[in-house]
Amino acid sequence: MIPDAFKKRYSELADDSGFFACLETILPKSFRTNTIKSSSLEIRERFAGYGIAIKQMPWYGDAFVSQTPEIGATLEHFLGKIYIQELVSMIPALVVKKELENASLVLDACAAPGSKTTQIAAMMKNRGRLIANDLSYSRIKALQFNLQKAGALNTIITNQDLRFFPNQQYDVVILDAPCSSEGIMRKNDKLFRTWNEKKIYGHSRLQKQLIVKAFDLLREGGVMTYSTCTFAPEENEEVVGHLLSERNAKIEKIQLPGFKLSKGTTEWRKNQYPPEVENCVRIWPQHNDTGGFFVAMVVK
Amino acid sequence: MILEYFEDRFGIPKAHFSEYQLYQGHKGKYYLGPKTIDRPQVISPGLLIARAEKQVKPTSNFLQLFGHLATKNILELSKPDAKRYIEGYDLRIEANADPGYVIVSYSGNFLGCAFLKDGLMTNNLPKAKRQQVKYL
Repeated sequence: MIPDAFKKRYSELADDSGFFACLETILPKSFRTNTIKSSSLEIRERFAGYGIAIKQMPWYGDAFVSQTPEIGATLEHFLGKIYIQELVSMIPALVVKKELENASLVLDACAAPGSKTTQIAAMMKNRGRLIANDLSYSRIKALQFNLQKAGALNTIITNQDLRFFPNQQYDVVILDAPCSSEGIMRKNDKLFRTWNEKKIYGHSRLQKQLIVKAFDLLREGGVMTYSTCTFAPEENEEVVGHLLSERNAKIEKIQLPGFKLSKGTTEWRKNQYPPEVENCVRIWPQHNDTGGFFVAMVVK
Repeated sequence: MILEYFEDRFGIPKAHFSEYQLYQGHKGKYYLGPKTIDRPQVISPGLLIARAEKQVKPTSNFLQLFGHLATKNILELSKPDAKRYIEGYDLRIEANADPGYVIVSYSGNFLGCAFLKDGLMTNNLPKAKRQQVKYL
């Protein structure tokens, strides 16, 4: 049951009557080919052999959706040839794929449990160096398990607070910031019961510190993605706006042919954000039958 | 010593890993990772490939990734035995492999590590990796 306060808060921003209805439906199962160990051609053939129907995404050939809930009971899952991952969570690495292919030093700043990290390691073809950091020691175990299972050789795990991270110049930084997680309510409906507007403000304060630090870790010409799985503009456009006011950053346009993206909002409750935040993308669940997400691509 | 062991025991060529660096961690753990690390407080520097205390024990993750390079001490299982191996069972088996650690395979897939002695294949899959597999 969606809280009334949540409905009231987002009824204007979501500008589409399908939003709340979609949040109460079950999210389709999705997964990604782990190209360290397999290819999407092999995965298609194997699943066809099992008689499991899967649909390849036109916007990302390594992404698949299935109505079968038993993806985890396949040999390919056991072998780490596929990784069960929400479609929208694949987008931050995907938008910087070209940069990752040529990068020698990459930071995944809030890496656990490793969905994006394993994807990044695969896009780097297991070459160069990928620093997978997470502040939460309890989540490091899952990160380690997933990286080992995926066969990531180029990945170094660290457990530090990003705000005090040693200075190095990274080619690419992926900052998938801790957030109020409103966008994963289709996967975890408990979040409806614990949803509280106050949490948003606490996250926003931390995210503003993290985005500036992450930007400072980029080399000149380097690229960063900032993402959250939440709808709150305070955690999204406001955070990107904060970076623009503090640093000389450029927000790049994001395009993903075959996947509907909405532009960032420049206005929220009496607050105005810089026009550049329109280049950020909001992903509304009802548009692509996914979770909710926000991504900004930042260039130094 | 670790990479030489893999070459000697399984025929996995040491030269294949020249792009990477071997690191020794705590409790006899060996990792294969990037050439340089240049930072303190590292939790793990790459892929855990072996534990070496009394003897060298390859990890299942390593064998899943590089098993295709092996030329010997590979134990091919039938479909029912492969399912039981993945679920974590030990198996009584007639095997054409030397006693010691073996690479378990099924239909061209490298499943992981086991220890073979006197016709008993002791399952070396970590508990966290064991699972029910319906489709194989």
